[in-house]
Amino acid sequence: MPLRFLVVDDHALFRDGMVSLLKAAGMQVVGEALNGAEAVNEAARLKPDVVLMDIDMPILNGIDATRKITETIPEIRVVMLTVSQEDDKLVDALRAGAKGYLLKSLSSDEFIDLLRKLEKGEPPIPSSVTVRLMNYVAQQSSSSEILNEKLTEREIELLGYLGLGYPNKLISEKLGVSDNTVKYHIKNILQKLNFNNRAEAAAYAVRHNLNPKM
Amino acid sequence: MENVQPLLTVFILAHRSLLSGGIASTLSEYGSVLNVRLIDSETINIPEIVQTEAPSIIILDAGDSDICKKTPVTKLLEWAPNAKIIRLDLASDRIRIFSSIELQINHAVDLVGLIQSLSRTELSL
Repeated sequence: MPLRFLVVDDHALFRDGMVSLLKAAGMQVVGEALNGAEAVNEAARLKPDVVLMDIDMPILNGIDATRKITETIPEIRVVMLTVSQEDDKLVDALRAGAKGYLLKSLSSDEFIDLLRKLEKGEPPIPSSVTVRLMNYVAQQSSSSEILNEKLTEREIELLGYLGLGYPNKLISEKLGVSDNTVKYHIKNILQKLNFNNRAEAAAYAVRHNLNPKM
Repeated sequence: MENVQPLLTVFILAHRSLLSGGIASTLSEYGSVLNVRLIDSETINIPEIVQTEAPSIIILDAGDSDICKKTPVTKLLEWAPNAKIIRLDLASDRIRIFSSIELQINHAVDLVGLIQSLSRTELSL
């Protein structure tokens, strides 16, 4: 039985091309959708084996749509198909439940070969994306090791609040300490991590997804 | 005798572009009227193949900055003066068509008549 696909992209010309390529490769296209919201509805209605999902779309983006689909029908495999080379989007997509990540800069042959991996239960991810993912994970774990070595638990928590853009007063309330103690911790964080100012620390916290215990 | 239309040769210039691959696949479904060729701009000498095979239509993806830099529309029209160039712009869901007319001009005054014709759209591109 050929795999049954739902193709989701807001550009008709691109969508038509994908449908043609899939059919020419002997795969079955059971439906199309032009935004994330339509994709969620069509996935529930058609129950395809695979959803080929663009990321940047109006109404509902591909990552949120993926989350909704995989939460309600986990057996559907969502494969992102995007121009985006950003690490954050790649990681967000995988966290949302995507089982593959393909780039629109692939050749037609590479695209079809990677999709065929689904038939063997393997994830369709090009080696260039795998390398990026490995670098990302390595960077994340080394960053958290550095943090744990350099900062106290309280300082890491406070750094998380800086990432959320909280002012000192609010941080002091959250931590149950005085304004002066917050200032003291911030000074230590800047010194230990070699930051020039609070904004650099906040950006670091956002980049490394540091969330304080709320 | 059956009236058989000649095949229109369509070149799609691209390098690693799923949009172009998809367009090539879609147009290939019309093989009785179109002779579609996906030309890899990295491995094929574009000026040579365009000049020797003189395609009727050349399709480019406007979002493919490499191909647009390597083969600007003006160059393509120099190499294949009779071709129509179709540039796909996925970002705006539009296509833009380019073509050229080559005329002999002997005197500057000829240019005046030509400009007037163009402004009255008597001379259509």
